Amino acid sequence: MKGGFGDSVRNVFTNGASRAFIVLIFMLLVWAKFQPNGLKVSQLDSYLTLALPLAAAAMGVTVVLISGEFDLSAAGVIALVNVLLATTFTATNPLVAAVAVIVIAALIGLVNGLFVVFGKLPAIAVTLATFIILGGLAQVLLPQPGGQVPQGIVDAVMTKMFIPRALLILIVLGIGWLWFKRTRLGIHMFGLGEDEAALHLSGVNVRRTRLWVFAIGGALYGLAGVFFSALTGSGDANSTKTYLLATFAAVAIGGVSFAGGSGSGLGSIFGALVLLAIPKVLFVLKVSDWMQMVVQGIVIIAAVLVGALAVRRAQNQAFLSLGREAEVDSVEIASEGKA
Amino acid sequence: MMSTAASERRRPSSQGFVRPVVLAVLAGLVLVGGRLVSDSLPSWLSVQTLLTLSMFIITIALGQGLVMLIGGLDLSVPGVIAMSAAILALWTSVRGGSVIVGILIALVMAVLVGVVNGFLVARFQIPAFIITLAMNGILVGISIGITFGHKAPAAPEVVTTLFSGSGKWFGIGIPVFFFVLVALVGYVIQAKSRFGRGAYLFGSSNTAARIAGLPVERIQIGIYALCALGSGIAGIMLLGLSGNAELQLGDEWAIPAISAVLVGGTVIGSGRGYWQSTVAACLLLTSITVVIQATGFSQGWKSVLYGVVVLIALLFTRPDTRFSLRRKGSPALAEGESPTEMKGKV
Amino acid sequence: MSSTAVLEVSGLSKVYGDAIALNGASLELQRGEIHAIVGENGAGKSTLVKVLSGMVIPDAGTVSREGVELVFGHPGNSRKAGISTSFQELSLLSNLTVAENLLISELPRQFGVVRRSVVEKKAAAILAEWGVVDIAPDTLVAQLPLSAKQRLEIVRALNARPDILILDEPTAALPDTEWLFHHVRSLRDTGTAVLYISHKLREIAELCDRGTVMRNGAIVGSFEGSDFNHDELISTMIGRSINLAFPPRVSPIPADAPIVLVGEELTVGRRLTDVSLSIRGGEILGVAGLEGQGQRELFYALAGELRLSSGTVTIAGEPADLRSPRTAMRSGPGIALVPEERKREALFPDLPTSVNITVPALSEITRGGIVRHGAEEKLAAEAGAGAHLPDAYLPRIVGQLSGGNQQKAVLARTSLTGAQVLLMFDPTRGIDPSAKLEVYGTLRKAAEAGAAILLYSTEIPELVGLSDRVVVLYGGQIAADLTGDQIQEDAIMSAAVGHARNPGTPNSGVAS
Repeated sequence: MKGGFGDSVRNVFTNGASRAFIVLIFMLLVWAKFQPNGLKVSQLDSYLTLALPLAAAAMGVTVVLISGEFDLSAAGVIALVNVLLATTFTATNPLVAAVAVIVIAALIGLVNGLFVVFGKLPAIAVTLATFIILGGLAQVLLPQPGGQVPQGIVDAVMTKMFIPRALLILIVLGIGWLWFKRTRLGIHMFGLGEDEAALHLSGVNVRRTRLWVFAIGGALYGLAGVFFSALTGSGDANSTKTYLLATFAAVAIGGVSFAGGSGSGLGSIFGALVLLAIPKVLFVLKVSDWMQMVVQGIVIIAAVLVGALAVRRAQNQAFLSLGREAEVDSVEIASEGKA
Repeated sequence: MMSTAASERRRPSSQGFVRPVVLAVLAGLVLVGGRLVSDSLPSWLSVQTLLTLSMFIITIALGQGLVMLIGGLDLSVPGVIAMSAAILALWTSVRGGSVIVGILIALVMAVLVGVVNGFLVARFQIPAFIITLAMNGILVGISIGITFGHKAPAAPEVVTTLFSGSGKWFGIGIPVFFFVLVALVGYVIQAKSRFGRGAYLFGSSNTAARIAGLPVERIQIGIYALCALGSGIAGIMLLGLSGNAELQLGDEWAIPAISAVLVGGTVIGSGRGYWQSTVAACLLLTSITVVIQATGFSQGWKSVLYGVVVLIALLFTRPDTRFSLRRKGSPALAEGESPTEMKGKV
Repeated sequence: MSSTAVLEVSGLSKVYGDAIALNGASLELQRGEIHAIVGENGAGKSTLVKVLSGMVIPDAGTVSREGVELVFGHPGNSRKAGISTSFQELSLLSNLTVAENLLISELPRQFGVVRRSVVEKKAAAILAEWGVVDIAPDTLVAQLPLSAKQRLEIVRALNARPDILILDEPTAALPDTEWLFHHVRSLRDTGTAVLYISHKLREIAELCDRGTVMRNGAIVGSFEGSDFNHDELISTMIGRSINLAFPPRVSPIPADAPIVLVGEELTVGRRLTDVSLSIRGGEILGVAGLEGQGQRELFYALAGELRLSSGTVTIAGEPADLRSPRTAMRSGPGIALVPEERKREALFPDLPTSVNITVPALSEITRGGIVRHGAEEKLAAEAGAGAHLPDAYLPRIVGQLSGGNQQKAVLARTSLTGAQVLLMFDPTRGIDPSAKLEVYGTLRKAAEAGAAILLYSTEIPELVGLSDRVVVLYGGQIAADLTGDQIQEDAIMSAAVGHARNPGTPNSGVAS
């Protein structure tokens, strides 16, 4: 089924990660062009550093979405991790501290998973509740902003090098994704979101896979929390609220399907970068502050719209040329009707 | 054959009244139990507070509940609240216009937002979650834009009197009456109206609704429009409460509304959910909030407690689901079972 | 119990609500034999497969593997017991590659990574070993044609080299059956027992050593593979339903009855090709066919639920608006569909029966935006009575009703659509005999009142008893067109299994 140029162009559009990448490049170019006195490396550096927590959190949400579930707890985990680093682990060896909080975050993800798999509760409800609980715990530990994140962690992220450290970290994250999706667990994760029943019939332990996915998501939120703490240097239980929805925005721009079975961690990284580039671009284009939010919203809608249309076209093609697939719903082209 | 006959005999109406009564009773018990925590509980004042707070929540939960019934989630609630409050405040305090007209404009804009939300969701089958999330950003941005230069425009007096609890009829705060009004209107809409009927039908089975000839696109758009309208009204009420139009006006209220719907037993994306239960769940959760408030615990512990309560409530109000594996296009692995709800796709 | 029996199925029973899927089914599978299972749709074959594969837990009965009882309900147990299944409804993951699907439960890894080249090489070896040369291991399953997917599903089962191999309708989408037969035979020769579920009698004659006939969930007969009489076998499959009297036609269709619905060269994807038909007012046009022969595409396209790839549909002379079931219902005299899967496509399971019934007529019972309770009850009762549904069931949640009563509710609703063209897709599936009788009565009444009915049924006696004409679908096209005396069970069944004995005009069921 390999086609010609037309097909390749279409493939780019069906692939969320490439779409997000193209948009990102475009935005960076606009930014660079209109930035007075040119775009300095230091500006790029701070922009990329700012994107680190969002990128990591978006990756966490991505794996859960690909596996066919939902997770609203990211922002809560980040807050708790931040507070832990600033208080409980403030005097600990930075490496140990970082590992410890990531492990804790993974365990939290595991708890979410247990409620979903064994408690048979809808993931939205569970993770909403854990989000509230974690936010509360963070506030209990640190009612007022303060504390001190271990310097080693701050340094690890913020030290200036000839190329932005954040860029390196993002590249490592990207490579990490490419590696993960080639592991057994990664492949099973895709299968889980596509057709849980078929996966079960194929002999894969569906429950275990799902639990692992939630745990990994949690670990990634933990990592995001570490990045966030490096950025701020101190603890603030209330400052992560925006992450709740920003992660989903990044994920949507990155083309991850909310129905499960497809998506890319790379796309989410690009999505995070696009999201954070919007204010920059608008600023240099002398667009007022408040327009930023409007444009962000429009970009998100445009991104998912293009994605939905591209997928629909692809499904139509498949149906016409290959004969009916097993799923009837996807082929009910004549009418809409899904919420 | 025998067992079928027996199961056919189970009365459906009991499902609609047992739970809300239980929840409401629990709410009362919580308030009374609040005596352990503070001498000021229980009291008529605390009941009034409970009902006042609940008024805001159920106004939002009315529309949000229907949206969740059909499998979506409306995250543009805070944005609509902010926008409608801003519009009203600006219209009256800056432009000197009349309150009625201001309210009208605000609500019309809110409905428009809902229509756009519903259209995008229904026509392109994009998850409501993300559409409304994006819309929320847009609305917050617009709110900032239109209030530019005017720092937190003030609420018209009428509205403040009505909704801040300062105005009273027969010695009872006006919001209590509004609570009753919204509860009744909500009941009529959800349980009795054709509109509500469409929501239940579509939520119960998208496919059957379509094949039976229902105007499914129109139904969805209508539901999102109603949700936005509810948020718009809530925005006006909250404007009255706070006295000024601030951006964060709605932030505190979106989650309690969603929690009330979930704890009330609405199953996302099914035809299952009762307005009475949502209202009662709201009372319960709010009473817990009131008691927690009186404990003097720190803000953090309050949140933790609230979240734990929601989790416990969820565990106990779980519908009877068998372990069913999801297959795209078909509900459950074992055929012949009654279709358990699809995992909520938002 | 013979000493070479490798699998003993004893007394399996399974009931779904009122529908009996398995009714004390028992059979013995010998080592090294290819054993066919035949039967109509709904005979219990699929349920048997599901029980053996660990997907369904039976209500009663045992399955033993050389004396050791099989623990039901988990695919892993069945696999451990040496059972490997190729499912009719393919269990492949569309978003993964061929290679990944083949090796999904045992992906090879090096340092944690599943290397593409390694998996693909292994998969290629497997594919080559089983003689599949035209499927590239790196292809995404979503992009494979159905026949390739089918072969993939089969290879996966074959490759497990099981002691017991279950093939459920393996040749449904397979143009080249020799490939399959070759491998099944070679496995058989090494001692594997093969359970071969199929409706294709020619294949069974060619391949199978023995066979068993199922009907209504029970085993009703057996035969030797190479030596059976097709007609007798078909008779056994069909059986005779006891005491099912079909309401006779009261008055013949008037010669000048207008043609209400005309479909010309209807094509839907690859599943339905150039089918033409027409139905007159008062006529019941029966459609016969085994599963997956295009009947679903035909019905759903006419109903506006699936999009026609090409072809035209006119209703009462005007082009039908088939953009959606809603527009179809309002197109001229109207087209309404009674869908295939009652639970998923027809019912609103959590809502009361009366609510389920009044859906098309909400405008009539609504005033001032409020649904009038009294008017609704009255309307539901009227419509329910027309479908023989007792009033007592109206307030109950429809999901709790028996299949028969549920279907009556659906029919009651359909009567309220006011549509003249009724597309009935297997309306008596999964309902008890007395309810069936009542459904027949309702159908007959509707026809007498002038409805043009397209009736698909998996029970051939029904088609014989109710239809004025019958078209048989096979492979997405009309294989036979029978009228009057030609409508016989064996003629229908033969055409349905691909022996088009009746030289009716293929590709057109157009009334003369």
